[in-house]
Amino acid sequence: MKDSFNPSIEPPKKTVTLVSSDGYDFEVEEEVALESQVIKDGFEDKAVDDREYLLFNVHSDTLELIIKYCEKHVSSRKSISAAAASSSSSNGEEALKEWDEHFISVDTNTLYDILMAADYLNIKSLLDLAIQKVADTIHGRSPEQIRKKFNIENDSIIDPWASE
Amino acid sequence: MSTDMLYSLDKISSLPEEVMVDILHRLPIREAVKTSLLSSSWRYRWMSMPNLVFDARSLPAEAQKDSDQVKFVTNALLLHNGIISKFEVNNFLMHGCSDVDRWILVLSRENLNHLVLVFNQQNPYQFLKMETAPERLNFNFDHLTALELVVNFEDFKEIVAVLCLLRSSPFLKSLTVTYAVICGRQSLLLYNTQFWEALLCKQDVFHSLETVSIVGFTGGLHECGFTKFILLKSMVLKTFTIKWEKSGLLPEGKLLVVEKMMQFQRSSTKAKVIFSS
Repeated sequence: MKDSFNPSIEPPKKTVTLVSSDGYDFEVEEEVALESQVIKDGFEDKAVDDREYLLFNVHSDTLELIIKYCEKHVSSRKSISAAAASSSSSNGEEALKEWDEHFISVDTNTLYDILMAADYLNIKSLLDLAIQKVADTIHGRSPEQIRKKFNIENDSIIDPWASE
Repeated sequence: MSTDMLYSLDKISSLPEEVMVDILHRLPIREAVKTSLLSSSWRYRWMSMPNLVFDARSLPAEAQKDSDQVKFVTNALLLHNGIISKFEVNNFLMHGCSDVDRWILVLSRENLNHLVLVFNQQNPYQFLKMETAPERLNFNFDHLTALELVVNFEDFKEIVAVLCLLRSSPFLKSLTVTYAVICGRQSLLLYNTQFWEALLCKQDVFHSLETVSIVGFTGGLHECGFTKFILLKSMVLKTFTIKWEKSGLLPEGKLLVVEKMMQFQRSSTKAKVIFSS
């Protein structure tokens, strides 16, 4: 268990099962799954004992990463607010930012998969992170470099800004 | 080998529309426009960006003439296809020029919500470069709700131009004016001594203006005159924020100005005047 925040007084964790598009089950803590706005919305409508979500658009490789991200954010939020409550100094937010940056430093295909999954599951902070990564990759690169980076095929014939 | 095939696909180009818009939105406009060179599916993408922001981030690395920058903005406006809700020219041009007036005309035909015109403070833009700006423009900005400008209060022509824009934006909610303090500037047009008194008697009424800020306030005659005018003519004003110029008046001087301004009549019963440093 990642968060060692007073485990003795916490009630036993409720879990939900997420099923990837290729049929793998992932059992995660409820609060981790609720990072997804889509699951959160669905959660309120669902019967209490129905705790399985079929994610048709998310492959198990990607789902593993998404769960890793959500777990990290849930536990970091707890330790940040615990540090704030005991008014002890903490660089939790700074550390989380660094962790995020490392997390999103992936190859283009994985970045795309994360982006699509974050969009589908509506995990706002992750979607933000992935979109910013794409923007940063475009920024400062020549069109040729961007094409190479994202495997974009140049089929342009006319260049509307050629006169520039 | 099938995974290799899969991995060579251009996935980024097929991202959902709203994700695409968000990516372009995070880039300086010069970078966003550059994406039109990538491929045919990217060519027109930037043209539907709702926010056109020309700021220092979009200045090219190598020094260029102002006229190239002007051309860039004009081209962008010409090629843009879709709703423009925000138009910002912020420290992008060294000098104002008559092209800005033409942009304003083009933008008046858009559903523009937010207009920002900020020029180098040493060479502020004198808008509506006519002998004197008219009372109001021939068209209205019917969607404009936020306006940010740099104004030289010592220049009578600029004040008239600001008033002209205000009268032509009937639904304006928020106005931010930064005072360009200009040292040793010549050929200022002097105010008629009765200028502000005459203005207060006019029929102007602002029915939507809720928030006004003056940044770099020095307590000068014309800044006070403008404040008096806004307080009297704005029916639903909520906050009027005055940020003092840093190297401005001493505390005693500020007190005198504040005392004088407390006497200004306010048409909105909810209006708060906030001084901050």
